[in-house]
Amino acid sequence: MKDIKCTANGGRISVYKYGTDRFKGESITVYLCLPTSREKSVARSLLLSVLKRGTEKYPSQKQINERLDELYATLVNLKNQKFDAAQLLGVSADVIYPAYTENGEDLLPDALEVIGQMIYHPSFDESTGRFSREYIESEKENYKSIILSQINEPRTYAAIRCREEMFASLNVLEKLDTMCDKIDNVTDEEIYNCYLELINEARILVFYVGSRTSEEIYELIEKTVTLGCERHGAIEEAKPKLLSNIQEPNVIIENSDISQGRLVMGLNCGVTWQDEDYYAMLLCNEILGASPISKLMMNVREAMSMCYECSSVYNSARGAIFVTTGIDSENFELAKNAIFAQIQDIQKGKISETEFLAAKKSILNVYSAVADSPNAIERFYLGRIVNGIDTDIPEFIEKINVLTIEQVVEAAKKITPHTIYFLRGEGENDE
Amino acid sequence: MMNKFQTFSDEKLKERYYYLRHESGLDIFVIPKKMTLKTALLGVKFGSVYEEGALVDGEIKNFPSGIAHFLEHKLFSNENGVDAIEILAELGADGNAYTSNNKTVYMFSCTENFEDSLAELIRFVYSPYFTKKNVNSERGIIGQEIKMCLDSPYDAVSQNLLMALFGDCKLSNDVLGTEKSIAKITDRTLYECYESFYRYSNMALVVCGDIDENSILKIVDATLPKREEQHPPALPQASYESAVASPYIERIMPVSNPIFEIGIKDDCPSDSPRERLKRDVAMTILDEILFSRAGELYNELFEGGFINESYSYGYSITRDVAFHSIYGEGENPTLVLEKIKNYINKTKEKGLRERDFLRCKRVMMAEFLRDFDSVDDIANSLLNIFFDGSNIFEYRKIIEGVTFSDVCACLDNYFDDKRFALSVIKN
Repeated sequence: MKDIKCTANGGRISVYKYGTDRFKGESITVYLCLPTSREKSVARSLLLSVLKRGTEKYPSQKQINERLDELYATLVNLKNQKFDAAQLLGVSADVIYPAYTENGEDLLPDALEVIGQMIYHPSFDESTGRFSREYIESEKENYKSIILSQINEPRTYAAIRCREEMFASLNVLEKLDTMCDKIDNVTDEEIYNCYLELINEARILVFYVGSRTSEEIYELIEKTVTLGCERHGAIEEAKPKLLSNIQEPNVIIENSDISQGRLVMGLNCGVTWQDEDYYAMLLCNEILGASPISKLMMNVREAMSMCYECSSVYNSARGAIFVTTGIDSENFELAKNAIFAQIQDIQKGKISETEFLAAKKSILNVYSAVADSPNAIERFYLGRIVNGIDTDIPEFIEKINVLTIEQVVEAAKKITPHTIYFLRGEGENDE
Repeated sequence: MMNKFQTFSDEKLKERYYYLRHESGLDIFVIPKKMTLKTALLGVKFGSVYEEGALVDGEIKNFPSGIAHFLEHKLFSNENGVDAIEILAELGADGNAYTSNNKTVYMFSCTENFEDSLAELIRFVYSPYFTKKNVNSERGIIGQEIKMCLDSPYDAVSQNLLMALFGDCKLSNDVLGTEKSIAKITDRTLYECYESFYRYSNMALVVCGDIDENSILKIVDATLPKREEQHPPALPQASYESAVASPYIERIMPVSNPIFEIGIKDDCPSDSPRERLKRDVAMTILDEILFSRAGELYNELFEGGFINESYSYGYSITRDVAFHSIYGEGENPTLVLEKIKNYINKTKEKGLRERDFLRCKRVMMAEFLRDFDSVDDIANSLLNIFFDGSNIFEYRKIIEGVTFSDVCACLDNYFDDKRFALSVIKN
């Protein structure tokens, strides 16, 4: 990856820098990387949220936020990225450059000081020496209500339900209805142990977007982090868990008092971003339901006037494609068949030159523009760094550019329907 | 008039833009920005609030609710059956559009073929093609869009808040209209509406990216259809009482936990764009002091378990309406409202602290600055501020010039009981 400069000291801290002077500010995220653990997943999420509640120097959330406001609305975000092998817990900061502050103040060191406080000097209860019970309980309540609120919007809920049903056999996702019990059952001790593991064993990965040199960043980071004495746990490489194809797709129909039926179709393709035909599958999905003139858009929405939204997304970590639409419930069969017909057309090679080129350009647009946003830059590179994929943006663009229709058709043949979820509207005639 | 761009620049922001009132009457802005993406917006001062009551060539026009948004959908159609979205997609441009209560904007962004895409944007917006058949088929699509929003409690809570604040009137109409109101829209009403509002003098083109301003002028000269000069429509001026139409509104929907939005109604906005900008700045800073996550109120509510992390707040002012809103989720919205009122009363008694004012002013400036990191954000901010009668660099100066006493005056005079409304969605 030519775009990225990496500085590392024997493996414990790695600083990745994307150099650019395009923006009014710079961004940094300090990630602590641990091996993925399904058992610890909920405790780790709670831990991360407790870390924002107070530090030794800034004892309350209010004081942390006030300090960030003083630093010109420095945005500090908690990040929790889960991959098959690694989980990354992180704190990020976006600060503006000295040239835009009143007196030329350099804000990055001060922002890193807050991050260092949050990770290495959280406020502990004086009597127990552990995280305050009160904070843990309130974060549990907050976490539960955020989880439960996912049922609020039928669009989101249907997408979650389809994913749950589809991936149930892989045992990789926590289900909506058991999640709250899991949250309740996490003990204070577990959270504290996760914290000890985090500061003592995690590898540190820093991602920086801005105009400083890697050496400067490295020096600043050394002042921020406090390395524990123990050796860090190695992160084993893991092959992603994938679904196998099934003969007949599962059909799940649930009812709800809503105006519009929500259909989500989970398709298995088994191609992940670690595979060579990842690029062909990405383009295939674009032709199906992501480009401005995708088959779903032009043939299901425009030609049939059946829906407002009809699109597909490719989950490249899990090798699946999800098609989503909202329809009058009586049109369920019609919509399902129309969507299948679009997939079959791609598999049979019925792709026009216009559709093909528009899909290519649509992807190229999105990825060429990655360089215009610090967040997009980090999103693009982080997963690749963690998974050891050595492709930078120009290389990525080139791989899309050289694809042929035949390659897309070959990739499309790997798509099979797996789970069809329909949230049927019962309140449709209430108007 | 000479067709020559004027340059506006701001040393502190290190930004500049070029402006030209084209001989056709169209306002053109070019913001040079060294980014990969290039974007263009073609906006018209026509949104849901102006569907009723505009004065066009001496005649008051009343159109069905939802027509601004319907027009937005339908303008992409062409006589040969090839949609403008398709033509843009072939060029590699991602075309889109949106309608709000006071404007409609057509846009695209791309990394290549910018000039051809711009020519297409101008061509399709100025070549309406409506037939009975294409209007009917669009009605099906928009009908589904309306249903999707009806099922969203997040849309419902905001829409109901407008209803509580302003009553059942055009200020609270849903931009999408209703299934009933869009049933009244025909190809003929669309043409009539188009001709009333889509006049050069009622529109603006904003372009942002690594672009030469003179090349933009050439494209506009070559593609803009020649028209007889038309007067811009006189948009209706809203007027309303400062008291809310109803203090409480509720709807039952399948939500896990009640969600709510509190509105605090401000006086009817001033006629003067500059006064509106000043008010926007002072009120936004006040909101930041009172409601931000660094403030006492949020932390008391969050730590007490009255709300969860889904929390937001903001002040919004256009030439038609002005109000604050606070969004939250929690068991007892009425109690949260009481706590907010008490907190505001207590703050009124104690007075604001100047250091909070300085901190929040700094926040506002930094947030404004960050808009300049995205071609879309800059272009949209510039268009919004221009349509409201002012300019983007003026806004920066107003932030710089706002005083502590301006903000204190806002707190003292505009938070009496009659201005509060609560919109709740619960199970």
